[in-house]
Amino acid sequence: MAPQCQRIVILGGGTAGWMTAAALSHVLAPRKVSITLVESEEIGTVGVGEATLPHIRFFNQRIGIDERALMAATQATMKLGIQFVDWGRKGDAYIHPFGDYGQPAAGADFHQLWARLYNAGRASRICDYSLPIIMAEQGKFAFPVEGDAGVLSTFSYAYQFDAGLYARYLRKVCEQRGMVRVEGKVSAVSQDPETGHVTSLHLGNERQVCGDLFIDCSGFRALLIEGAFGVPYEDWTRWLPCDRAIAIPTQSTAPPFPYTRATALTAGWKWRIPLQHRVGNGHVYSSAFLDDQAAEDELLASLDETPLRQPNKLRFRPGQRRQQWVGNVVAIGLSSGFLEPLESTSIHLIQQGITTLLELFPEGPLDPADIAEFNRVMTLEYDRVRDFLILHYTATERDDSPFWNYVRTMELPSSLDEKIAAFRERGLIMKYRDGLFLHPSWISVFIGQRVVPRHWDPRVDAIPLDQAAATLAQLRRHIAETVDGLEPHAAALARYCPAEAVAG
Amino acid sequence: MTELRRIAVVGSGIAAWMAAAWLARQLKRLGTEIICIPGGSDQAPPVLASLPSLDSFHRALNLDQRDLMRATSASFRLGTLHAATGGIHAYGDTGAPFGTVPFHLAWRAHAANLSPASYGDYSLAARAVRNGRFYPPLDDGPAGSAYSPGLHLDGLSYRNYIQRAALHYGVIPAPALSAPPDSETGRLMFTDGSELTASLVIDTVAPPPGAAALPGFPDEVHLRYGRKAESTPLGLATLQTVAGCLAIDVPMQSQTVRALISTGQAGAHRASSILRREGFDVEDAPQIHFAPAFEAAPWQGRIIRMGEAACRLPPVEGFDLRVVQAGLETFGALLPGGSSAFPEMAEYNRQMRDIYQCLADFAALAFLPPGASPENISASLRLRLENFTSRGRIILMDGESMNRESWSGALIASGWQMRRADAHAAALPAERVRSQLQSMAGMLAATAETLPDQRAFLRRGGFVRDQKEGVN
Repeated sequence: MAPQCQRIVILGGGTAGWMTAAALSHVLAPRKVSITLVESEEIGTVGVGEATLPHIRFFNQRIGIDERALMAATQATMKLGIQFVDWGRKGDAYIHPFGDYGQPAAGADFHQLWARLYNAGRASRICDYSLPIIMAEQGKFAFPVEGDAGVLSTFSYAYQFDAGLYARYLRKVCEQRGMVRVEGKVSAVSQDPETGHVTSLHLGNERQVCGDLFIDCSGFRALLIEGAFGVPYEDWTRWLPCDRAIAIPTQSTAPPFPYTRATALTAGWKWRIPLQHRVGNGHVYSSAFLDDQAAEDELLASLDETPLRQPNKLRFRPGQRRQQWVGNVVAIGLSSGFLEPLESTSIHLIQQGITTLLELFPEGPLDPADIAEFNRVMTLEYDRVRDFLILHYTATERDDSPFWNYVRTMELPSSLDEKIAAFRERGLIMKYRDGLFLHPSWISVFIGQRVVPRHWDPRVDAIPLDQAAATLAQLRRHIAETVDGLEPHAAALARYCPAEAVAG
Repeated sequence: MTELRRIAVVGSGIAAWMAAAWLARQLKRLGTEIICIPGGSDQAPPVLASLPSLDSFHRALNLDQRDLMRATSASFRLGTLHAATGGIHAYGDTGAPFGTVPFHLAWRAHAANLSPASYGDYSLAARAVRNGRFYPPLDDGPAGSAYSPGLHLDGLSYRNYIQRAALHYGVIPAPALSAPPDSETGRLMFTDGSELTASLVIDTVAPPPGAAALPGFPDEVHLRYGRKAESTPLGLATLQTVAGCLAIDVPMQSQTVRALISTGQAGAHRASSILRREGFDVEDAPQIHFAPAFEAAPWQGRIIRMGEAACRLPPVEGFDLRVVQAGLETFGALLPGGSSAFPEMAEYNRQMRDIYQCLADFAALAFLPPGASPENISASLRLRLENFTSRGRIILMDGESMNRESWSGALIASGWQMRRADAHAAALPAERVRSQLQSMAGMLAATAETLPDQRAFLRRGGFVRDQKEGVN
């Protein structure tokens, strides 16, 4: 009898495991499938990504989760973008916003007009023409307005939350839906001798969990995709040399700002993510350029507030699993690959894996076409995120440490080399249908890291210089005035989704 | 500042005048001089089909649709009938999605025993055009009625019409060239001994691109046109196989024009007898042979190939005009910004390669028996077909001209089948979906009954030139 996909087993209860469980239990509810999640209290979770991308809102909506309740339960704050400090040069800072810059002019993109005026000394920094950036800088927040409502409909937002609490929240939702959670540590995996398909997981407590489809959310251990199937890992350390992280929460002493900060250090960078009850901090660095103790010292020395706990240390290998679905095992989360959290992509990649799996969800026997398509989509997603991350390192003038000298001069994937040249020479952003980061994201990092176009769309030259400068000045004023009238971020949180006060 | 002092367009056909008119209009504010240099044939196919998107090209030229249609004996094109299956690929929506489940998947899972059950029954355009009816796009019509029409038009009148627009917008006719344009310097030498330098040359007549055969197509196709005086319902082209050749019949105001596509020399010899046998007068126009192909890097140095010089596909689905329009619009988004190294070139070539490949994939469907999995098709078409036949998944690529609805519509109309029902579609509550399907079909049937015949619509709306006004 052909195997039917009726018993789904999710291995691992971290962010990936519970996101997968919540989504599958909701979307597959009308179908006769059973979903079991196996996890062990003994194994800690990494809790990837405390900062997210706007897409997560649509994910939560789709799986029937209330935003206010979720935000309150996860100590969440609003996120309008990411501030990058000291990347292009020491002393530089810019925000990558979740939103647009200005408006097209004379048939050309806004940044073309900006490039012309900037080169003529008639425009201020491009950040001044983005509402979410000014909002973030002033610590204000407003919900975007749908439709075409002027500058207030030019942006989106995401959350900064405690990923551990997010997983716990999703677990509660799943259990309310009647999903089965099995406690236990995997001691052995049975495979069909003919097909190699995983048939059951043996747990240390002598339980056995059988399934038709296994979702490997076992994190870096990759118990099934690597353990059972031996799928090799493609290492991207040569482009993304950071392979260690130290995380440490600190007290919250000031109202949280609505953005994440990534500050470049000597051999990596540190994050700062303000939540309602505390601040998440961490140092991502390259072990080839910095030893662990020095990394910890550098992080502790740079903290603004008092640490709440001992630092938590992580090792990882940047890269991706060559195939993320093999046989009846689908890898989602860290088992499928890891990219440093510079652009908050970890949770997004989990989400993309889940969405793609759902689109291709097998009804009857597994179909090789579905498996091939899943792998195609996920590989493309990883590749495009990878290029965007590398850009942050390569577009720099920093030469103050061996790390920066390495990343500034390293050989790039050819796909990225072309993208940089096209922007530097003419402000062109390569146009793709798929891929996570759209034009404004690329523009913000290019320009924020001093890749300013040398030439621009000739149509903007047809606008008289004074007239163009006046248009920009007016837009800048309009944005500033709009932001002035908005509510402080902390007040918005207190009104919309106040979390319980806890000590750390 | 701008590098674009002068652009020369080479060619005398439709592509050249489309390019010249569009550039003159778009670059007017830059003060760019557009010259048009005769070359190649000034003939045009007796009939052209267009995609709905040609409308945005006409709007960019500020052309009046009614005037254009009168001048080109045009009618609205709503879709294509695949004679072998009886299925119609109509433009626009078919049905409406069930939540996140696309309509065609819900239809596959639940419409099996319904009457009516054909896919086209859920498209107002398909229902209308089957009987020669027409409707202008509706703002708030029932599910399955949103669409935009394309056009069927007379090729030579269209060429002349666009030429007039080009001249109106200030395109300067130039003498013929005495030597090919210099790709490095842009130097042009004319038969009258004069010389000019162009910043860029748009070449629509260069010999067809590369010799390598295009996967999915015959190595060489032979194209012959015939006309038959008859008055068939307007709006619907018919694609069928006649004596081993591919025939595309397009209804015009007072005649049907058939494009007969045959392969190899044997086909070429037989084409006119096949046409005559079915009552078509064979065109005197020179016979056309070509190898379907496209140029992977149409912009090199100062020369950009457009139209047939860049991409030549059999005339299915109105891609001749689409090739030109896409080349121009892509160029328009990448106008040279002043560096003579043309940093725009690589991106232009990358995008055009994707665009041509997508068009080729769609056109290749006409040459593939449904369900076949031949070795010799492009990797992208293989991916599309595998995903569609597996569970109806539509894959859109970079550079797509056809939307999701057109891909599913054309695949279903040409007889491709989805092996399995999509899991989410299958999980929809069957009774509710079936009753919704039935009410959708009923609503469309009732609406279709109220629509006017296209001939009447065109006459009443002033889209047809009055006989007394004389001819062009």
